[in-house]
Amino acid sequence: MAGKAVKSFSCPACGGIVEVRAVGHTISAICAHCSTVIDTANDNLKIIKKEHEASRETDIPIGAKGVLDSIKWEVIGYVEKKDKSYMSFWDEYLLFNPYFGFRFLLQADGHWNLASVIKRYQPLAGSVSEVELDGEKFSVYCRGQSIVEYVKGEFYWRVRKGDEDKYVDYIAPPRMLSVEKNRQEVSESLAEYLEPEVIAKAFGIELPAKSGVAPNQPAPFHGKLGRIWQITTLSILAALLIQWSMGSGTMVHTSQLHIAQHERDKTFSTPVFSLPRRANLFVASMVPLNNDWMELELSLVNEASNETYAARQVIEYYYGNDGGDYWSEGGQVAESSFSAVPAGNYRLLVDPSPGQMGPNGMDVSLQIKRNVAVWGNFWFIFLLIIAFPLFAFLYRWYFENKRWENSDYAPAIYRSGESDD
Amino acid sequence: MIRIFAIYCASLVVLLAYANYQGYVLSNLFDSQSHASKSANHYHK
Repeated sequence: MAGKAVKSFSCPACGGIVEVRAVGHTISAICAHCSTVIDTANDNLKIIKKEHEASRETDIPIGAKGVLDSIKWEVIGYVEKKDKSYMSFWDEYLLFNPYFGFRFLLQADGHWNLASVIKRYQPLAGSVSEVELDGEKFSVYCRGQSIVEYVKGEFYWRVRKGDEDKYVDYIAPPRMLSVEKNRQEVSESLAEYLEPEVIAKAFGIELPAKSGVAPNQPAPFHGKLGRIWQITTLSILAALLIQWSMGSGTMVHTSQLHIAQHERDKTFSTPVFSLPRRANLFVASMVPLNNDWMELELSLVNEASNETYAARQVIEYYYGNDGGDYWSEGGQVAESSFSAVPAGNYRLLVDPSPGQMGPNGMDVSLQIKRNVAVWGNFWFIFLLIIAFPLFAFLYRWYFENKRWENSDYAPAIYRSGESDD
Repeated sequence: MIRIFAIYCASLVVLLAYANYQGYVLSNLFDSQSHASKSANHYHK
């Protein structure tokens, strides 16, 4: 295989052995012993730049091989760059395969990208805020000037420490389009985000953990948020239909009790009524209170088993005029629900505890309904349905905020923390 | 994940239908004064 044709020569500066793996492509190689940059375009081996820097360890060593996208790549070069303004650093590994050419592995803050040079140069790219590629819109993320801090290995272009490029990065996660310009050329590369685990597995190495959010890191629920909201909407509509189909319930009993002064301790009973099947029961009590209160102990008793369901209603209604301001608190109506009462015959016992109560006693109106649509049920289910999409939406928003906080070109909705001055 | 969420939502909708048909009050959080308790004891006054 052509990839095994490694060419060696002695470094013209220090005499150390320098290996060239991409024979026929490499035009500059860096001595692993003294970091001198050597011109390998021909056999003269001219020194491009003499250095006396010891070779550094890199996350992926030169010569390492790994399979990415089903292609076996060999790492042949490494460049460390920094942004001149932001002082941020990143690594660029040059990968080589004799049949597929070159790719770049980019690393910053533990985030990785696999990039390839594209030959679809758009004359405007670099100066505009949005570009379109393969029908996809890329938004500008950053513009800057990079400087080569360190080089190692071999390259198909002349590279040396101190080389400067202007660059513009456009993103359409998980892809990133980078435009680099220097005095000689303009080049564009298209990168795709890769999880560090993919790189670690491909090269059989351990990598440091990533930190922060990368410019083109796919957002959580990437491409799924629309479908999640679709399912949510359909589910809520189905729940609403079910709720509306319940109707307003069936009246099973209405009565009016009169509580005389001497009956304060009396227990009142409704006639027996029947429930044809398991259902809920709602008891509404209306008491015409005037600055008074009343407590009702309700006991729903099954005629056959004597099983009892208990509830308590406290009704109070106060009003007045305070310096011309009318006020009132409480109300004259209370409602209690009995959940999932089994079929059978029942009567309701009412044990009133009145407050002041006038000499004429007090009337209590009772209404008992079964199969009442409980909107609390709907809202309970609604909350359980909406919780996940809401979480997904908020997490996504938080993630996008983190993505754009390092950019000078954040969309307006992610600029809430910025001042206008 | 989408499939799991769809199944989760469908289960909740079925739960609502079942609860409504059986007359369950799933939560009293949204209903005012809707407290009722069941007693296993026979009622004596």
